[in-house]
Amino acid sequence: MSQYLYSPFNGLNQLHRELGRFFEPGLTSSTADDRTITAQADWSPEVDIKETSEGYQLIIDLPGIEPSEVDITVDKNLLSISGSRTTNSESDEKGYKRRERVSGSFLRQFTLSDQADSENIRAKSAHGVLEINIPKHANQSPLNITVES
Amino acid sequence: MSSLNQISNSLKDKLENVTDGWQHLWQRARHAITHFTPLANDENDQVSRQVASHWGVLPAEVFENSDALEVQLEAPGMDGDDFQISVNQQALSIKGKRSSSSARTEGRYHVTERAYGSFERTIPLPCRVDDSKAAAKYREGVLCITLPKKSSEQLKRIVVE
Repeated sequence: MSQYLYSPFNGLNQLHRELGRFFEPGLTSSTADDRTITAQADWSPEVDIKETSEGYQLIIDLPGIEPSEVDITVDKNLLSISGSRTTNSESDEKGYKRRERVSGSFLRQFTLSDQADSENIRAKSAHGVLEINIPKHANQSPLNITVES
Repeated sequence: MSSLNQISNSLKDKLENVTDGWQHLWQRARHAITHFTPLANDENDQVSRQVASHWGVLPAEVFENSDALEVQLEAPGMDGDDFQISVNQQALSIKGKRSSSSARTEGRYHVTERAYGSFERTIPLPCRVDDSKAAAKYREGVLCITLPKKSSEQLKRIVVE
């Protein structure tokens, strides 16, 4: 899990991220991997990441998306959350007086730390919010390396 | 000289593209960006008070058919009971709040992009509605409000003498 270091420009960066969702969907990056997403997805959901002693918790806003339509995959240490949102059929187009919602595919990827136990990831969803719990490995004994003389 | 002109023209084109794109995005986004006020009574709620974003994006959609307006607002992670919806003249006002649950206060946040707190969004309506017959439901984080249009007989006509 990559971390944000303290930065005095946090507020500004936050505004940039939020605006960024509209400028270049997919560029709201929390990991370096995110930057490659622009070409692959139409939008990217907002995320909170929290670490406790037991594990990591990802809270992702996915309004208007059925839990069954969300794809969560782990490839080595890359966690991907993807899916798509469809809106009403295009024939209804002229009935819209206001359209701010973004439709299309979304993708968000995160690099898992070595501590994460990718075998036991659990996800649940309520009110358009997806919660992914990633436990840490129970007892990670530090690797001892003996210096040979 | 001709190559200089070419460069200057292509730069002008690029600038116009950027300006157009910015205008388009601004038109689309400016209303959806909503301020979240931290909840004052939530003393344990370190997330909403300190680290969380105070600006969130709550995109809305207004769809008009022959007899009603359908308003949809993306507002994930709230309770249906938490919304206060009212119609005033030709505007719809939606108030609500999102609190980070107390179970989440332990631990350390690495990324906080989601906004917490109370918010209010006012959406102008394209026609008059009969607010006594309004209905709302909340599903998968999307609030859907149906507002039947006011028929012309219900409008009070004033005859010019």
